[in-house]
Amino acid sequence: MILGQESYALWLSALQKTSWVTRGSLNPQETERLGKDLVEGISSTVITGSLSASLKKTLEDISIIGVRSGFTPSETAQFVFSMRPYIGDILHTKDYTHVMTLLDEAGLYTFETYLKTREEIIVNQRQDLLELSTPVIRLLDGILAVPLIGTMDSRRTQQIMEKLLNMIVETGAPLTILDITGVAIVDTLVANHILKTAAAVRLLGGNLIITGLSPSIAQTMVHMGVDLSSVITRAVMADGIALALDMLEKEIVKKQQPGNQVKETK
Amino acid sequence: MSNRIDIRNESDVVVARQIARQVASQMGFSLGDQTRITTAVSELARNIFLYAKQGWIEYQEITLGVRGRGIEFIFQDQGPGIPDVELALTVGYTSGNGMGMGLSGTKRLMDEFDIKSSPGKGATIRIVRWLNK
Repeated sequence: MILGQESYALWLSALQKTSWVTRGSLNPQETERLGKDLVEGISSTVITGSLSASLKKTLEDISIIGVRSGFTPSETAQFVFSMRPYIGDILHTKDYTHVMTLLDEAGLYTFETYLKTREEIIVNQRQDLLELSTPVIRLLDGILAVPLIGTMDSRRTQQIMEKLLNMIVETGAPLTILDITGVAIVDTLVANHILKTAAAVRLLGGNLIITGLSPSIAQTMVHMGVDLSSVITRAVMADGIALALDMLEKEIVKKQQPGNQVKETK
Repeated sequence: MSNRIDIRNESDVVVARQIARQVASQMGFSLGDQTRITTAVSELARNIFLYAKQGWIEYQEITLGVRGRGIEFIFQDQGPGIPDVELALTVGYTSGNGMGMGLSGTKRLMDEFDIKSSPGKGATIRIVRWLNK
């Protein structure tokens, strides 16, 4: 129920001039619907004194649209705060302070939901990144490659390990090259994960070759006393591939030129 | 003037070591030393997260007459504490399921390393690396 129709219309037309409508995030019908819900919500809140569930729902909708449209938190809260000059007349109330307090509460609530919505997006993106950044590649027949990049926290390492072990079983590849060029720090947790992965790979009848340890990481590990001698390591991926081919008794040979004698290779 | 990093979850450990590397590089530490410092910070920050759930790190540049400039990190938590510091520094000993090399390894990476801890009262670990050796 809207009392001050005139003020309400004034507020709506003011709202049409904000980035909400000018940037095309809301069409006039949606603006009107959200506006009506908001006024009704605030008017029932004036009586009860606390934000009602339906008002919260409206405010959440506003925040979600704000986040999706790429608005700043202030721009998002503007939807609610733009009502400030009109709300007294819209509700025909004399208790100005009370209404303003509630309007502030409602505005702050959009801030809160705005942040929550953003956080949800970040959590989802982190999940996407987790999955994206741990590929297990079939490099050559019998050789898998896992290029690790970034932070090796326990969750990621667990994921990589599972994915790798499944691939080994699936492909029957006897050799895996784990490249850690993109891992900035190898502390004892990461070292421990590497050792455990190597042990699990061995249990499946495979072998793990670690490549891409930088000179400063190698030195740091020696100083710490971390012993990786049970794992085969090579400085760079190319050496790792050469070693893997060697272990498989295979070699990469140049294409035969026509007319040349055909050389036997395994 | 010291700075503070709060450790509340695993991603704070990443933040701590990014800051450590940045500060070490700004102070002019060599790449090898940056890696040492970053690894030590990663190790001790993760210990806070693993054993005490939460705590904080204070860090600052320090100057001491003959030693010159250095970087100091203090790791503090109010977790279960370390009942036997001597034992905790023993290579291969772990109360969790790590390698048992974190504390002893960190001690070897740094120039100074002190632990103050008593059971139930948390732990304070101070590490220092000097710029010129």
